[in-house]
Parts: sequence; structure tokens; C-alpha cells
Amino acid sequence: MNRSSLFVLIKKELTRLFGDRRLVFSGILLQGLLLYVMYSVMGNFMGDMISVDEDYTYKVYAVNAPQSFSMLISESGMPIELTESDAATARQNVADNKADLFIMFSSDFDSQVAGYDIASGSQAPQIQIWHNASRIESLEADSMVKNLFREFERSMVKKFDINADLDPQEYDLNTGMDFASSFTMSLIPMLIIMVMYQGCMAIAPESIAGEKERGTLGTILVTPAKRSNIALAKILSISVFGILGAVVTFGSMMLSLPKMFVSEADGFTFDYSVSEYLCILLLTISTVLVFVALLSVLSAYAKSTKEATTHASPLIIVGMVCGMSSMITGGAVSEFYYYFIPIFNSAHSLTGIFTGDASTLNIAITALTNTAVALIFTAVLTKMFSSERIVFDK
Amino acid sequence: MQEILSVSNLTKTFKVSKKQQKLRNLNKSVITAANDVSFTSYKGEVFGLLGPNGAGKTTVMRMLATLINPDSGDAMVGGKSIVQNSREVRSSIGFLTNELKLDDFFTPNYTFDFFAEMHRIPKQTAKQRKQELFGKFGIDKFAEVKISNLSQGMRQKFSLVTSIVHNPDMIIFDEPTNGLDVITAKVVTDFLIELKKEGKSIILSTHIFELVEKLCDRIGIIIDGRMVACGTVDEVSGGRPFEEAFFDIYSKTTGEVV
Ligand SMILES: Nc1ncnc2c1ncn2[C@@H]1O[C@H](COP(=O)(O)OP(=O)(O)OP(=O)(O)O)[C@@H](O)[C@H]1O
Ligand SMILES: [Mg+2]
Repeated sequence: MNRSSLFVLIKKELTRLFGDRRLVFSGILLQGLLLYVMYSVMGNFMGDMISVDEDYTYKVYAVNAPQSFSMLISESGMPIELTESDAATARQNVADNKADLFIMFSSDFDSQVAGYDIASGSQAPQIQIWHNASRIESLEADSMVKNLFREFERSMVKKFDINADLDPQEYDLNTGMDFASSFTMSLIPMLIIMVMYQGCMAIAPESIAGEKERGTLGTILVTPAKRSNIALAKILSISVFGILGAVVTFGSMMLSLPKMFVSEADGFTFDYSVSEYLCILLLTISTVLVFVALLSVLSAYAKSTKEATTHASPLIIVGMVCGMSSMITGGAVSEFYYYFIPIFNSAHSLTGIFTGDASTLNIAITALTNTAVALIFTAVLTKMFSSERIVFDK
Repeated sequence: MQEILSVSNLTKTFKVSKKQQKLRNLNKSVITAANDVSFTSYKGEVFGLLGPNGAGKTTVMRMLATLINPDSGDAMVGGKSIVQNSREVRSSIGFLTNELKLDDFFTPNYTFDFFAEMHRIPKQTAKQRKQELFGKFGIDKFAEVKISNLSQGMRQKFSLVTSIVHNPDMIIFDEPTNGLDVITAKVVTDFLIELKKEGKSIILSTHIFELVEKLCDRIGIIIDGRMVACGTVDEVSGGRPFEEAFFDIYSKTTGEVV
């Protein structure tokens, strides 16, 4: 019978929040909806931009193409038209959009491969592939040929390397910016971060500053409950809301991302492993906890919902900048210490997962850092609630 | 006579923002809302706090209810210090004031159960008490109506009910009839009399002299944060009608002629 006041308070808070249809909508459902709509719109838009005609034949220029390669192509049945050429012409044609791909083999490739001893440690025979990312046909050809080689290489027990020596971007002969993919890449984490922020914004100020403003917090302060329990109940119930919002965000991402990544050629594939999905979920949840805790503290400082919203709105800019930062850095940063920066870390971890170069360490640092930050803010909030200036300033 | 409340030297100051100073035409940045206030109240008595607007009545009551902490001084409620044992104090008092609002979103039924749980009242006891109080104030008909849809009078009656869910020994009422129509005001006043008969101790602030004469055993007059007169109603009024005595004290203290 003597249930702790914390339990009673959480029950009341949840009844309150979930009983308010407006809050459930703007705090949980809206995020998923926003994300889904934005992704679908963007997906359609980009789908138009990046699809290859079904009966298109890819124009591939090759230098020193060995017999085995021509055979490989004809065996695969891929619509590829191979032209033997010199390096300069091939390069120029790809850059000028007259050809889709330029492949350069080490001279006498087949016999080199046959004679190559893996154990020798000497340089393996080389294949270099250049594409032009401004054209979807070129990107498509690039991934097609690379897949082909991968198959081929596997069958040959790794006797040559593809594009081993250079940064992948240097093989992009497009002189303009690879707009579509960097735009998409930087937009996704940003959108996720922003919709989750907006979800928390719908609840935390209302639940904390709103109760102060309406004087309903005071009636709870005169019960024997510990002030810290009142604070904890607030933040825990808002967290429950926030986590549900994150799950909805995650769910809508799962539903709408495949629409966006209509093609594999822009560098993304949408066949992630279960553990990658779990990482995305973990990241969204740990991010939302930071928002909940941060906005709760801000809301406790404010005297009214309006004031809380005003205080919190500059933060959306910070969220946006963090979200877009992966565009500036050209993908996820790899140095682990960057992942100690909350929110920034979320954006880069998500980018990392989407582009396939996430590290488990960085994701773990992100989740732990964000959870720790949320806990610190929670502690701050419980301290704040014991101050009469914060909870009862009339 | 058994002491239930002994207030000693309670002092509370508030910082006033520059904006507030301008707005209220003050030239100081600190307001002493309660200045060395002391008084004693006994079990089963009604103690009335009187004073003009802004005198510090609400401030004193908030300190007793442990909503705010005194800068110095202390008060013992049933032997418990409001500073040291604030949670025990809170479970033995009821506090009713205009500024504390019930959440519009819930029904009286839910709200009552919530406060009963907060006070850790056994379910059965709470149920009985709810029936009794809801019946007395006619809330039973509205038990499942959202508070936002209750009339002002019904809300005030329900606020009164929630402040005594846990059957506290001492009840602090800050202007309990403020803003009520005469009918509802009478219901509330009658209930105060009933509580007194039950042996509850009541601390009451009011601007209504009639209420003072009808209810209070002992009064304290606060002006500008100071307790300027304190004692039984007879002691303070010195045989005169209470209203006359009050204005006299006010004029003497402030130098203003009313
Ligand atoms: N939180 C606060 N911050 C600043 N000043 C305050 C605060 N609370 C009260 N005051 C000031 O302290 C003084 C005493 O206020 P208080 O509300 O205790 O008066 P009161 O006797 O209850 O008046 P009333 O009859 O109008 O209710 C007033 O000048 C008031 O403005
Ligand atoms: Mg007052």
C-alpha cells in the first residue's frame, strides 16, 4: 500500500501526458509523420533525378583490358559496351559525360595475376576505376563493375586490388559537386535530430514550465513528496514520451528510407544488418534523452511555457549545425574524441551507419556520452527542484 | 492548552528585480516580506492573520507550509521544525491558497485518489474519506467531470477537500472565501467551524472582520512584515468593536489616518 511517491507521481505524469491527445500527437506521432512526409517527398524528388533507363547500355572505357575481363562482362550479361582506349581519352570522356566509366588495368594483367604470389608482399596487380558522380549512369556503372570485380576477385583468391592506393573521392572524375548524395547524407541525421528535438519541445516546457505557470506544481510541492522525486517523476515520464517519440522516428525512418535510397549507386544501400538497426535505435534513444534532460532543465528555469520555448529555440540551431556538420566534414568524422560531443556525435554516428563506415567504438562512445549527459542534467534538475526560486517563484 | 504551532522570529526577504522596482515604485532592491514574526497557536484554536495587502500574511503562511524557506527563524508545527523536518510538517498540515491550482485536466475522483496516495493513506480509509467529503460538498455528482468544467465555486470546494485529504491536524487557509459568492462562502465558513469543533487547529488569513469575530480565538495583525499586535481577539481589540481597534492599530503603526 505504501507505494513510493515517485511511483505515484510517475503514474500521474504519464496519465496526464498520455491523456492529452494534443501532446501525444505533437510529442510522439508528429515526428514520425514529419519524417515520413519529408523523406517521401525527397525520395520522389531524388528518385526522378537518379534513375537509369532500363534499356540503357553503359559505356565503359578500358586501358589494358585483359581477355578475362571481356569474358567476365559477356558472361555476366550486363549491358556494358567496352571500348579499349588510351588513358587520357578515357579520362576526358568520363569527365565530359561521354562515357560512364574508365577502368585501368596494370599492363599484362592476366599473366601478372597468374604469376602473383600473395605471400611475396610485393604490390599486387592493380585495377583503377574512375567514375563521374554527377551522372547516375556513371555511378550505376561503377557499382556494377565493382561488384563484378569483387565476384571475380573472390574466385581468384585476392590476387589484385581495386582502387587500393587512393582516397575513393579521387576516383570521382566529376568536377562539380556530388550534390545529391552529400545533400541526402547530411540531411538525414539533421532531420532525425530536428524532429526529435521538436518532439521534446512539445512536452518538456509544457510539463515543467507549464505546471509552474498554472500553479499546479505548487499543490504537489505541499504534499510530503521529496522535491527530488517530483523532479525525477517529471523527467522520467518525459523520457518515456521522448523514447516513444524516438521509436516512432526510428519506425518512420525504416518505412521511408527505402523510398529515399531508390538506387544503390549514390553510395548508400539499404540492406543494413540487425545490429546496425539496433545501433540506429540506440542512437536515437540516447539522443532523445539528452534533449529531454536539457529541455527539462531549461523549462525549470523558465517561468512560463512561452519563456521556456523562447530559451530553447536557439538550441535548434545548434542541433541543425551538428546535424549538418557531416556535410562539411564529408561524412562521419573518424577520430573517436569527437564522439564525446553530445548531439554532434549522434549526427556523425548516424551518418557513419548510413554510409557504412561507422565504428563500434564511436557508436558506443556516443551512446554512453549522451546517456551520461542526460544523467548529469537529471541530477541538475533534481537539485534545482529543491530551490524555491525555481519551483515556486511567485 | 497544548501548543500546536510556535513561530519564532520568522524573517523572509525577497530580491526585487530592477523592472519590479520601477513597476512598484520601490527604491530598494530587497523587500522584507516577513520581519521577525513570532506567534503561538494552540490546539483546537483558530488563529487569524490580518493585515493590509502586501503585509506579508501569505509569505508567513507559505513558510509554514514549507513552500519557501525562511531567511532566519523557525516554526514548530506539532513539534516538527519547518526547516529541519519539512516533509513531516507537510504531512501533518493542509494548505489552501489561491495560487495553488488543481490540474484542470483531471477529475475530482482521480485528483482525490492521487493526493491520498501521495499522503500514503490506505485505500480503504481514502475511499471512506472521499465518500464523506464528496457527499458533504456535493462533489459526488461531479466526481467524473474534468476540473476544467467545474464552476468556480465547485472548484474552490474541491480545493478545500484536496487540502484535507489526509485529515491533517493543522490547516492553513489563505483567504479561503476570497472570490466566492455568498452561498459558497457560507459553505466554506461553516466547514471551518465544523473543523474547529472536530478539534482541528486552523491558521487563517482574511480581510473579513466578521469572519474574525465569528471564528478566531486568537489573532495577529501584520503590517509591513511585522507582527504589530497579537493575542486573543479581546486582548487585541481591548473591548472596542474589532474594526475600530484594527484601524486604530493601523494608524498608530503606519502614521496614516484611515
Ligand atoms: N516571490 C516573491 N518575490 C518578490 N516579492 C515577493 C514575493 N512574494 C511576496 N513578495 C512581496 O512580499 C510582500 C508581502 O507579500 P504577501 O503576499 O505575503 O502579502 P499578503 O499579506 O499576503 O498580501 P495580500 O493581502 O495582498 O494577499 C509584498 O510586497 C510582495 O510583493
Ligand atoms: Mg496574500
